[in-house]
Amino acid sequence: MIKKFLINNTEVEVDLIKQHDGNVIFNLDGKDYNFQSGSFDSILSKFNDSTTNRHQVFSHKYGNKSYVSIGSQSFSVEDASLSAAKGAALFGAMVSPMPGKILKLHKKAGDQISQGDSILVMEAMKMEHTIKASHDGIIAKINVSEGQQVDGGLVLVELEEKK
Amino acid sequence: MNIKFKKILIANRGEIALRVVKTCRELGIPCVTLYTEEEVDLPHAKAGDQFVCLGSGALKDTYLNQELIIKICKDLGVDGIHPGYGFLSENATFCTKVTDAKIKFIGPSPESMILMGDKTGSKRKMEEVGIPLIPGYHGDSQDHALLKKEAAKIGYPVLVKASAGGGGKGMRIVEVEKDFDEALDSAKREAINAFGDDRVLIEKYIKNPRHIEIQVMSDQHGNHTHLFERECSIQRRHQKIVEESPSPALDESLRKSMCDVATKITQAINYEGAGTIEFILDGDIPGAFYFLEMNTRLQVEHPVTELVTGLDLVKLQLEVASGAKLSYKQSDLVQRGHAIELRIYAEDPDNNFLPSIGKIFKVGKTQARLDTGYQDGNSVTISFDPMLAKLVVYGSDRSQAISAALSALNEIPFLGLTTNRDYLARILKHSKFIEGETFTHFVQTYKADLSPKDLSTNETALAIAGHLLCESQNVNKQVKSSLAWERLTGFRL
Repeated sequence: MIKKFLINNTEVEVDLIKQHDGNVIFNLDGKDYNFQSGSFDSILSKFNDSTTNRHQVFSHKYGNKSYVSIGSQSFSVEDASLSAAKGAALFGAMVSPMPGKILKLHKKAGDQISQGDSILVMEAMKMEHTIKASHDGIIAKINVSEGQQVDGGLVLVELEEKK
Repeated sequence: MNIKFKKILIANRGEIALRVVKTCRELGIPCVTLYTEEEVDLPHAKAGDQFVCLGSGALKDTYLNQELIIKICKDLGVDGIHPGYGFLSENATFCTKVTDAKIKFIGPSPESMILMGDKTGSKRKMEEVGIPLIPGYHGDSQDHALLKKEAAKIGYPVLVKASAGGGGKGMRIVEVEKDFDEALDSAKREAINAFGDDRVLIEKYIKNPRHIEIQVMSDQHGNHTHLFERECSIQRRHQKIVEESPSPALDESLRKSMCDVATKITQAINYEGAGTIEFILDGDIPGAFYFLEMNTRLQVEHPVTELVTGLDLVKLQLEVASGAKLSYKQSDLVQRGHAIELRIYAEDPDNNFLPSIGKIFKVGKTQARLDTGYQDGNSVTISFDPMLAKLVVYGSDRSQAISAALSALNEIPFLGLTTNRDYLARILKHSKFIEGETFTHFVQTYKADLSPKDLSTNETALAIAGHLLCESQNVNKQVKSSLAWERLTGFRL
């Protein structure tokens, strides 16, 4: 069964052969993998008939997502079919990364901007963060004003493609 | 050693509150910890022998509420306050009020604090004593045009810094004159928000600086010692993320001259307690170093010094504060082996180091020293500093310490959060870091090398397996966490 996953929002396709009772078998990029759950945050694979490989993998399922850590890296993994449809991201919608306060607007609607230009400064976690243009364009709309408290995930600025 | 304290209140939170509790426990001194309503589930809340809720709301009503904290001390019979770092630790007004209330402030006198806490005033004093300083403008006038003229006189690039600053807040590098106005406004804004004081000073910006600091410890009897150096050159957003001792940049003679300057300073200002003298070492002029500032408190990175000297710095603070003489002589001290501290932050290094928030499903366990204020199930919110933990490792030499750090990083996932763990690993594996070529601009200079690598097929496979296999594991976990024992975390008999 072909299944698609999103690993840190990058799509990966595998052929899932078996998923049962702490054992998964799947094919990824033409290679078969056979993993078993182990104890103490580990996943096991067979090296040969008598030798087992132990892989330190931390994982925790939360809603449809799993948080997985391998080595020093952490990932979120989810079934692509269950993912909240991100679709093609809005062109140039610049979203607040976290809750905070808008300190200063450097640009206004109608301004032409190039990638990397500072659009606004927000404060979150006691630090100033400059929100920069993700690409060239024209500011269609600014949805916030100086001094405003904002939630994470709010569309701060909408960009239009330069004609 | 005669430590006379009957009860100590720790006017702080998180990992440093827990750190001070640990030494109080070892010494058998009862201690009081503080917490806010939002922090009920955090380990520091219930760590003390007594713990007091400060209510909720803004910091000025809780951890910065001087009257409330002094009242708690009086109500509970506290005779010593350990301020930790940050918050009220370098607040001379608080220190004076505490002293007036007949409670010992575990730290220096208000006079030392006022003198060294003001970047401008401290530099003037250092000039008198003959301590080397970076060329710059440290004057009182804050006239915009004058500041701009001074900047031009010093020569670009210059650094604009908040006089009352620390922790990289209110600090801006200005490469060319046309950026000066915007940088000055921004630095002043950040300074007034963070410190309630928007005075700035301007300095020559040194191209290849290394941040070297000397730990000092002085008693009330005129004994001034140093506990060698820490190198903290690896920084992002002007905040330290990797700290080590010894520094690969110092040879014996340079180490000696820097340490001698440090104790000359503590002597000159008649300092008491633990402190840190920060220096900039100019990478382009052999042996050139300049006084940067003195922090009149215990530093975040003090564990690095503890591991190489074998001393407990909090214990020394308590001894000195209770009037005891230092229990060692300078000549008794040696730097043994190599220690590295990594600051684990809830942030995304691959997206401008933006802080992240969320729930910690699993902190993890390691044999290395992990000073953290969080445990499994805690949430990281925007209310406090995004530092999750300090991972401190020890090795017999620098390369062993690096290996130990890399292994330990793998054991503490802080699962559920975006952290800088992998980024720290990339730094430790970088050939220039391994060679000891550490400068404060390291992370900018090697930005491309430090960007994330694509996952290998095997790593991708393991990530997918982790996802598919934790479905069944999760069922067991849910049952377990409803057991009463799990809910009693932090309970002490």
